[in-house]
Amino acid sequence: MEEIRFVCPQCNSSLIQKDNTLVCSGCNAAWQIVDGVVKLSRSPSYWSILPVEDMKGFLQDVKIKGWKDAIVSSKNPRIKDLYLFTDCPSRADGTFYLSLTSESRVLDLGPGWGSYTFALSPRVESVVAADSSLESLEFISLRAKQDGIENIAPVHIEPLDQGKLPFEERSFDVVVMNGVLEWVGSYLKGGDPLKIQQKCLKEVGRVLKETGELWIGIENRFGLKYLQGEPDDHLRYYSSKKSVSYTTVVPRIIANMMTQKALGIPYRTYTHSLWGLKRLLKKAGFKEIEFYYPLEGYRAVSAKIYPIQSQEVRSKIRERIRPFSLFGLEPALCNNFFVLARK
Amino acid sequence: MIPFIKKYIFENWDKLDLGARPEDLLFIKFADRGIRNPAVGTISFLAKKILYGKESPIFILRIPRYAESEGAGQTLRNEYDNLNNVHAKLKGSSLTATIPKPILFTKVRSSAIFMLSVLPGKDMAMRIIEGNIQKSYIDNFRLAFSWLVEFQKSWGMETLEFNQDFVDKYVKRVFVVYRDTFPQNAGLHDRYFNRILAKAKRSYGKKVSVLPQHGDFHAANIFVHKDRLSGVIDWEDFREEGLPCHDLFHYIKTYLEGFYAFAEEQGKIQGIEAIAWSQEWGRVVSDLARSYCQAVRVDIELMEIFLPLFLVETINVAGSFRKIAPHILRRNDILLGLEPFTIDDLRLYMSIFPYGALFKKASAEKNMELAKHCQVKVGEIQKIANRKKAQ
Repeated sequence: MEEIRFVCPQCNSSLIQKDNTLVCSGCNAAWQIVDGVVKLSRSPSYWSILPVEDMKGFLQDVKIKGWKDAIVSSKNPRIKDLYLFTDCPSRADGTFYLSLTSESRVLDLGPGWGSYTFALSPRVESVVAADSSLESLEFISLRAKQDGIENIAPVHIEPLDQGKLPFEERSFDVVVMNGVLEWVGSYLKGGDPLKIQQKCLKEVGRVLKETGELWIGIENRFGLKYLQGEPDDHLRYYSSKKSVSYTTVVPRIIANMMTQKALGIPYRTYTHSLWGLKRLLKKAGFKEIEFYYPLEGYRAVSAKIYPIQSQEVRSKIRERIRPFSLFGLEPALCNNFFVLARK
Repeated sequence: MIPFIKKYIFENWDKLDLGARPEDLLFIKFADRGIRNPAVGTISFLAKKILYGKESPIFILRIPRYAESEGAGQTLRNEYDNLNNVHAKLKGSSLTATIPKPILFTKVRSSAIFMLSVLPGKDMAMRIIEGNIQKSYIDNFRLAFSWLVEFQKSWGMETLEFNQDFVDKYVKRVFVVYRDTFPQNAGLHDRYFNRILAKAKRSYGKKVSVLPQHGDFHAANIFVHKDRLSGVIDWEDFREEGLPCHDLFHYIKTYLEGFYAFAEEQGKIQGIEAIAWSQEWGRVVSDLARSYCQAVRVDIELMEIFLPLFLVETINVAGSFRKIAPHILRRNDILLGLEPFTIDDLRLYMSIFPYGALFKKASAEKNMELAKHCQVKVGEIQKIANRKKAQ
């Protein structure tokens, strides 16, 4: 595996590895590699559908029983459900639309439990799984070790809201952000989430090679299900109360008032329309953008995937809005997108 | 991968005989296999061409999920070779319009790619639970098997005597493959195998035809367009000299699985019982099976030998390096343990799986009445199987 070229999160100078430590050539800061995880963040951040204590207990089980047995023998139904997502290479089948080769170097941003990371690792030269949630990376590290996989590097990074990735320019052929972009902006309590997302995407562009590709999985702000009143998927993570409907479709200032009133939190998990996402990516420096429609959702284990311009997308949406017609604008109502963006 | 394949196709367009060069190609990922099984997983795309602004399907593209996976590569290679063989054999027959035409098997960026023609229609599985279930079963069966009989007859039928030579050549090989594939199970089903051989011995002198078998002949692989059979896909398991009635039993078994899975999904115990315990269903399925056997000249009494052999062969395929399908193995191993010989046995014994699933669900939901009912039914099935075994 070719060496990953890290830069110091504090001063952007190159880091030089000495045993299990990365030392900054500029400010001399030292960063540790612990249990296979490169720790380049000092910000505490935790994100998982499991409460942190449950996650810590689960990691202990993984160490003792092995990751598969720890999931299968768990009495926690949420952990059992995770099996579907952690051990299913077909979840990453959308990446067959990318120009991946056995020499590709991939950055999986916000890998969660590593379903993309592990699905991609046999197909490419290396995968860097970078997350601000240390516990997820510990799981990835343990699983890689237990499965004898050597081309996966878990890296603990600052939350993406900071817009700083600890890698040198043009380090990667592909960056994956599956179900991640909409969360960018929700860690910081202030600032415009849209600007924060734009800054993050610019940073992604920086670490991508000139011919590199970005792969995004994200909900459509104006997805038909949201227009029909289905609650915002992202808000349910904040409260055990019922989530809130129509927040994605109303102007964000109103969405903010709605979430403040219903959940006591500001509205910061921005999703986008087809055009909004295109605009955001263009502003971040991406020129060539392709959209795909994963019919069963971008998180599904076995989704049918349609290029957005295909007849099937129009007819599938049309079936659901009959007797109305949008005169060819039906793709704007897909519930979610995969996006392939090139610089 | 798609950008590389697209480039390759455009560079070789003129050699591929795909008509006028389009402005663009769109690839729709519509199917996958082995979603949890990297070693054998394949992905299928429908390629559409855009010409003068209009979209039309042009070919199916199949690739292994992982380029180096030997099993997936072999699956694609088998299908390409089988389709070439079938088209060569049936040259000039109208049947070829219902069988995909292989276009290309090659490597792009070290990954196997397999292109084949697109067939019209929708798969028959979409019609399984339409309207009157029994009527649609009969209609679908007739549609599928009139095609199969025509296909098998067009190939050329050889009617043989069922005797020691036949058993040595076609029957014992199934047991040999089982023992080779699952050395850890050596002896596990010997009692059943011996019962099959004893039955075979008693049937010497009967007539049987050795026919080509599609190998995966089930509703989802059969396309229907305007109430006519328009295509049969997935030819990777095709055998020129297959086990007699393999396609018949596979169709019946997978259709039953479809019924039971639907009932299980809906949580409807009546859906299971209306099939498993119904004498009328037994009569319908047996009559259809008999009519097929008569059409292809297989003595109907031999079904009791070929059905168990089919089950063993199914396990053999599921355990092969191309499939590695543990869930199929587990279920079929349980079925073998019950020692079915007839289609009625199969129909009843297969219901223990949806009963088992409903038992689990009902127990979790504290619906003790339903859980108890399922438990009793599974017990009854086991008793019936044991009684038959003792006969």
